[in-house]
Amino acid sequence: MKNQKKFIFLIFLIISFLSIIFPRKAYSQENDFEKLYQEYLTTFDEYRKTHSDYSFKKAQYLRFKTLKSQEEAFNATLTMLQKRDDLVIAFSKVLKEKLKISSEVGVPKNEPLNARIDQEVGWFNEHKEKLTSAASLENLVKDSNEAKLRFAKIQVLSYDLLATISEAKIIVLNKRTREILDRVKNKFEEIKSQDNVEDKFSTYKLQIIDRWIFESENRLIRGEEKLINAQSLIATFASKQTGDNALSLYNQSQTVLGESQLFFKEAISSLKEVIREIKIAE
Amino acid sequence: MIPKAIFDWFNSFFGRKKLEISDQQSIEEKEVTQEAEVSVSSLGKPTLNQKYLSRIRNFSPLSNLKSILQKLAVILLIFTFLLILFFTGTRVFTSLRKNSAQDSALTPTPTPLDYQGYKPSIWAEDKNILKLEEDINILEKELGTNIRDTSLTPPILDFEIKF
Repeated sequence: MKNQKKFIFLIFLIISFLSIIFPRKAYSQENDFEKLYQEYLTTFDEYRKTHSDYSFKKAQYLRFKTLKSQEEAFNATLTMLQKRDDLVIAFSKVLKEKLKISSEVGVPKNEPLNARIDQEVGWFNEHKEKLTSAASLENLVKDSNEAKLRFAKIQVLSYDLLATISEAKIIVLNKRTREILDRVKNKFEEIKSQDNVEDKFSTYKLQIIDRWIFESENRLIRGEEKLINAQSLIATFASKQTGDNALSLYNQSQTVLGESQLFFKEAISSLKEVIREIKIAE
Repeated sequence: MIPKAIFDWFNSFFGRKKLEISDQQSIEEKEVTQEAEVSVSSLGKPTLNQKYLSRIRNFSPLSNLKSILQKLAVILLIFTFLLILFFTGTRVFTSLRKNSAQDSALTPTPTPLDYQGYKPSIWAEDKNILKLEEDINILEKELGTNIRDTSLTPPILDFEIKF
């Protein structure tokens, strides 16, 4: 009896140990993203503060044009530019983590995006260090303009990444809808081949079910066409140079993906009707 | 000690146990009776009859007050109990009346449409069909979610640095 109790207690310990270890992985992924996102928001606040300080010092310098005001404007601008670079790096890290936790995105798309993010983070880290060697306000202005051109790439990259994640979600939904449709069709064939005369559905009922399946398939095909359109739009992100163009392309792709999603939803609704018809006797 | 004291105090309301009065109080009472006897005898009047003496001996302002308080406490307790009983009774009565009224309101009335009962087919309990239904419902919910992420758009930064 004692040994039994010990054994049960041991099993309980093992199960609780395993239940603590395994869910931790999924929780920690979400936790990392939340942590990075909070850091990004904190950096954004800090950037705002340094920016308002820079605006004030710049206004003072432009008004008084003294050496002291120039020095203060220089320091404020330098701090603001460094904080701006920090912010861009924090944002890039959040994007990378978002891509990591989006399990729908496959490796072929994941790796190039990760590589691009790493490249941009590396560039902005170097740029931040380069800023410390600036000797004058003109140097800082020049460095800032370099960052401006590079930031456009970050904007394109971010919209590309977000569009890729949405596209991956719709692809998964498409696959699942297609799989359910195939299962329903197979089940319907099984029902049609029912030998028992008493349990067999009438021709009229079978036609109704058939029409619903046909309707569902049509919707699915339309949804898949929309998905292909969206994919071709997303593929043109690489040609975009500016953030505004990338944003408009992102909006377009989201609209088309939304339409695709709607078609899949209608396909599923039709399949729901099929199941309802099958469950109800004549 | 303390719980015992509380217990004794509680019991004193029901007359189960008299509270022990302090020695000082008993001494004071004795002195009162003694004084009464002495003062009466010194006046030269006839001695107080036994009735008065016993009354004086038994007289104690504190015990009188105590008995009044005890009676008051008992009356208060009984009154509170009756009050609770009364309110509970009225609540139960009104809720019973409401239920009967609701029941009467819920009596079915004839509807114009003929209700056709759902007659399940032989496939209604088929496990594959039920599994399909469950999967369809789950997928339908997921297809209703918004795929657009609005929290990760690039930040708006000031790149117009001029002096």
